[in-house]
Amino acid sequence: MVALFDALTPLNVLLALLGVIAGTIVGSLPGLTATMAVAVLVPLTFAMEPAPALILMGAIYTGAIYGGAYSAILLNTPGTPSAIATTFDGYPMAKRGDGDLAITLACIASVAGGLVGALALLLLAPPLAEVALAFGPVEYFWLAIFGLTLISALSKGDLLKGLTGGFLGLLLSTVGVAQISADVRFTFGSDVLLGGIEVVSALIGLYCIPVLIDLVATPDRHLDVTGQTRGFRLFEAWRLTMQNKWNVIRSAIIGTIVGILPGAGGSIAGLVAYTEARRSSKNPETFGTGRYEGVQATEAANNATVGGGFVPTLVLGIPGTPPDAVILGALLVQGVRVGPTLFTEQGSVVYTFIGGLLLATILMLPVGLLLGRYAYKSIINVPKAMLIGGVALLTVIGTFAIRNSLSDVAIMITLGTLGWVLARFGFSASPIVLGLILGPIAEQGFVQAWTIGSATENLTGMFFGRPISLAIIGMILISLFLPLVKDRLALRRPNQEPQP
Amino acid sequence: MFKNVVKTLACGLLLSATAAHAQYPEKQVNYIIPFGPGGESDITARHQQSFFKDKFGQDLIVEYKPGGGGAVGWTQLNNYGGDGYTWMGVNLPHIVMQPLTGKVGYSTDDLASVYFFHFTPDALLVSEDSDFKTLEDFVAYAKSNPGKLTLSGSGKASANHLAQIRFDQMADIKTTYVPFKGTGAAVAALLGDQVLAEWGYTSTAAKQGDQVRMLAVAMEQRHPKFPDVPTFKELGYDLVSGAYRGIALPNSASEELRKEVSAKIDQINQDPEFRARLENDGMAMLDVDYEDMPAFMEQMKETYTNAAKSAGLVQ
Amino acid sequence: MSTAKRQFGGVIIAALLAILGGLLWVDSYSLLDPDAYVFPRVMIIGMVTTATLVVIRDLWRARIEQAQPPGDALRRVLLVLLMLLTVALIPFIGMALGLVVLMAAAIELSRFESWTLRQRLILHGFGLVMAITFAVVFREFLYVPLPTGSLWS
Repeated sequence: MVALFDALTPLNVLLALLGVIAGTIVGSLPGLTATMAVAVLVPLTFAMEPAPALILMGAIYTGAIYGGAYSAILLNTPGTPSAIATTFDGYPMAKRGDGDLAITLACIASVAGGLVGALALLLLAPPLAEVALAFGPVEYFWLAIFGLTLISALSKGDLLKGLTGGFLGLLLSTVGVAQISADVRFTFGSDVLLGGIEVVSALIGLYCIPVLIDLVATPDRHLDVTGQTRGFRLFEAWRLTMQNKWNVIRSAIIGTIVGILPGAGGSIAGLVAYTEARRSSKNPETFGTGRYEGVQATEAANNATVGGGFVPTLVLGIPGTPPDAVILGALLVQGVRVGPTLFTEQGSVVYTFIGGLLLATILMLPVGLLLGRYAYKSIINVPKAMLIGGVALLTVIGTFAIRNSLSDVAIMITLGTLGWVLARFGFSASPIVLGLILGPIAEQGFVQAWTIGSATENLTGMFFGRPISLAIIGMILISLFLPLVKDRLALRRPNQEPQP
Repeated sequence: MFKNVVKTLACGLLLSATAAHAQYPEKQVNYIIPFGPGGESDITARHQQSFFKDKFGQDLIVEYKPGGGGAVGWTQLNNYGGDGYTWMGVNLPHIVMQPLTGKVGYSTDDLASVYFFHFTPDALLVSEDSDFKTLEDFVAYAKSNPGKLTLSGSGKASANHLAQIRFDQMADIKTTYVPFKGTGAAVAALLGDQVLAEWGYTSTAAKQGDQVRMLAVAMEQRHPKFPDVPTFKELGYDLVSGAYRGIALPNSASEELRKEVSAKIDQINQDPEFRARLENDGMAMLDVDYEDMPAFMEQMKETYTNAAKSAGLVQ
Repeated sequence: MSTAKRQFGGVIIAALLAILGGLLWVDSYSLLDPDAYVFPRVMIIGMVTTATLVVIRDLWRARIEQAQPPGDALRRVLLVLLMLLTVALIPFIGMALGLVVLMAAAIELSRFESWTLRQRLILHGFGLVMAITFAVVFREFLYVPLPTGSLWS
């Protein structure tokens, strides 16, 4: 444990600082994900010792997950998939002039979430790894269903259209080569769709292109600026965070737990935390109009997945999130053996790394505030013609960079245009995105659970008999029916006005 | 005088031809991995990267082109120039199975493979607290509980899956294969007791250490890193298989160029330190060069096609 | 006349989605492995059901859609076409040049007031710098293999 303080050597501090800065910038650019940022650095790390290499990669990862909030808030485009739910309330906040507040709130929440995740890694890694293993295909399936219940919240008032969008997204996720069955689905023979519809390019298309299409059509300003930009609004943000600390803490815990599950990363964590924040608030229907709690919940949860994701990665050798897979690969090339022995035999490496992660998270506060202010000011002040051109450029090259594929760019633009048309007629984009992201998890979980259940001749027990699944099913039912029950109860009391 | 000119020209041509031959590579080579970063193909490529730089003085740049489990990359291989400066990783059984099971944009013979440099041998794994201590325990349980023995593995129509199909036939048992997305997820399922066993690789055991136990490996001889684990052959099952990794060039590359690249990769492959590194990661070396390629590919195609047909994966 | 169009926009989209579902259903018969078609078919059933319900509900209640979004529809269409055209040209002229062209055209497309020559030059100048910077950063620092264009190689 003493090795924690080895993280404070000048080299490690410098690496943590540079990593957070670089990561935040990369994460804020749509199309550049945390995975990519880490992958670029891997060759550099071969020349380093394991601990500094880990600190650098961890710092970039942390910064990137936070940086996604900038474009989510200012351009309605998640810079990384983990910031999807930040757009729901972050962008409305920006539109009404509270963009700077949103960014500062996101920063504080990210730091808080990151600290919770890193502390969990430090203190609870082995037991948390056991929890991760207890999640089998059935649990993933029900978790995906739980995520899908968010569709009702995202349908902007028209549940039927929202459900249609959700099913469409779930269908789109099946296009291409199926992992679960080796078949090629719905490509109609074209090579363009062979790789399927890539999530990040779909996000950029469905969230950013409609914004661009509307920007170019009118001479209005992009975001309102109410008077002078009032500094960082740090005290205001701090006060709001303190008022809502339970929201932040709960979201961080959700993020840590989702992070430890291999295959579930920042995007799912943000969505689940957002759902919970909405459900437990007094006015759930106002979520989506610019509620602080929405931004806080998402950002706390997604940064908590950084620490959480390292639990299975370091303890079990199984990557918790996509960037962890890259980091694991880099470690293996260096000859570092992960697994339970890592904590005992190479404890100094691990603890120095966790110390570095904590350091990077804390450094994110000043770095994030400064970079955030710079981002905010540039978006506010740049002439609209440059903004439109610049964002268009970024969507093209950013989408290309995901899989080095020009087809992805074409799909992105087409999907985006269709998204604008659908939104125009009442089908909002978020249910589609939700289906696209959760589809593979739901499908794999279902098919695997079905296969195991049929083989052991215990289908009902499989789907409905396991403790963790029952807990998740419980949460699904509460999430769906509690609002109805609340309304019923409110109507029964004649002297109380039903909630508006 | 005229004769002198001809002689000079001939010498010049000869010299430049051999010079060009000896100079490859003259600039950096782009090594495209048709998967995302962090996987096994990436790791072995990174190993090759450092040895390439040492031996040939040029950079080997690793690029990724993921999508469709490799299909996107392989479909586009022949769009690249065949000057020898673009390599692409190829994997078996993928490049045989994908064209058979779905409408991908390439066929196996379209890919000009020049070398297969290693394979991760299939292995039957159980968690360390499992009741199956030997392969016989496993087979006995399967015989008395047909269909109930659940096994995880990575993907369908993959090396893991084909191993399960072939072994089931050899041992005359019926087990249930549950496909997972990637070896990480398959191992997690094993460790979490979601399934009773796993069809994985020797590299899985190398990574997971004491948490798993290998019942047998699908190799000709025991793996140097795991001398206590019997081979399937020793126990009476003729199963030697795994996931093979190799390198291909765009098919516009000339025969001479293909041999040249094959020779260079062979040079890296013979390096004792390179072999030690890969074996330490749990892999097994293979030296199939361009000469051996046609026979090798024929044999592979036949084995895989038969297994897939008997399992009903293809018609 | 335009009121009637607006009311049925949602209906048309829902109907198109239902038809898409039908097409995908038929296509799913080409899949051999049950594991491959079970999930998509269930989703198709869901989508076609909800889409049909939308059609029935909206025709029954003849809802009034939101007003026509303000702004110039022509510019909207041109922007999309411009981006698609860029993607089509990039294999020939390369990514860097494609970005430069896209930037210049997008700047012009966003012009609502008249610009002096000086303003124009500044905007396009910055735009050019931005496009080149992106290309350089992605290629040199992020090692993304940008297409170089078949016309120049």
